[in-house]
Amino acid sequence: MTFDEPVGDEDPSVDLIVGLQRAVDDALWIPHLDADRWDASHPEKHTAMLTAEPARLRVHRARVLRLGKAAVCNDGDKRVMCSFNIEAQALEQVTVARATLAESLEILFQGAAASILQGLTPDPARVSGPIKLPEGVSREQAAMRLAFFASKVREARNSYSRAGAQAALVEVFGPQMQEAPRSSKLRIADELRRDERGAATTAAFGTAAADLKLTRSFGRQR
Amino acid sequence: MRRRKGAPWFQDVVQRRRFEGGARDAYEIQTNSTGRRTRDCVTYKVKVPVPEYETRTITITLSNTFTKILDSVIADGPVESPHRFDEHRLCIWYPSDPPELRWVASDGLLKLITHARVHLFKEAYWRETGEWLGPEAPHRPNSKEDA
Repeated sequence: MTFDEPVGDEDPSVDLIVGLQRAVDDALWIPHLDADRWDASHPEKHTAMLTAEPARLRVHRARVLRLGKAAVCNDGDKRVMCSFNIEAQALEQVTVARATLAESLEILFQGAAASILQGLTPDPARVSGPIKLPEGVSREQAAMRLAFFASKVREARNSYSRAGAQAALVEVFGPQMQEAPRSSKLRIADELRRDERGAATTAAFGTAAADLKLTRSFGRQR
Repeated sequence: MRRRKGAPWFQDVVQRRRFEGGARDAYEIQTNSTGRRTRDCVTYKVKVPVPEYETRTITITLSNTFTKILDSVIADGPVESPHRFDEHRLCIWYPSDPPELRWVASDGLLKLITHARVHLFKEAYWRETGEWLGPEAPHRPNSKEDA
């Protein structure tokens, strides 16, 4: 295969990273350009762990993981952990294929919240140090957000109606559920998240909110 | 001959009315002043509805100088928040931001109360969901700067 050669019918985009074989094990040294150093990593082992047999668990965990990543990544630049961290948590938390994805998703969020409160997630391959949280995010803050996701998935699972389940899940998967009805609280939150002063904000806070200056909240170190 | 400076703003009826414009129609406000001199301060105590959450009482304190200087906006109720300087003082804007990104005295009391209500909504939402809504200024460890 050469560069810019389609694979079958697809022409994928691939990140090519130089790695050096470590002398002490079968892991790699990967360049960390920002820190100007080489970090140990074992991407092949990570992939092998996620794709290991049995197939039923592998497929179930992959689906739960996709949902988990979507929820966390919906927070954009305020996400409380990176995708790799969620994968590592899924390996720890999702160990059996349960009856529903929702059940495992709740277990993933609840388990990850408890785990991150205890300490940073270890590297699943045990080659590098624990997985860091994004800059400015504390373990407590990450745990709080993940526990919220878990509570909403639990609420959806316990709902007796489709509408009740939707109302809970839209707080986690808002961008993916554009058509789902939103509560007035969520509509206010959506506007404030985008730093807009729209109809929901004006209805809730009065006409003085319509042209309210867009301030940046400030305060103590988190 | 020395020119007279005029009265501190709270004793200047025109300035005071301009500042309070609209706020007294929208809210029930208790006003208090520790005196008539420039070293005294003026407080506005306001019960404010926070949409979807409990009503809260805020106390706004300004220095009674010739130009209005905001000292603090404090709130009762829960104190957990990533955007307070101590337990009670709300940090609604970044003090070093340009005037178009922060409240200034010429914006008036009604806008200040609205800023505080929006901030209290964001705090309550954060306590419930772990998410802070809208932009945040980067924090500096052990900063003494206040909002």
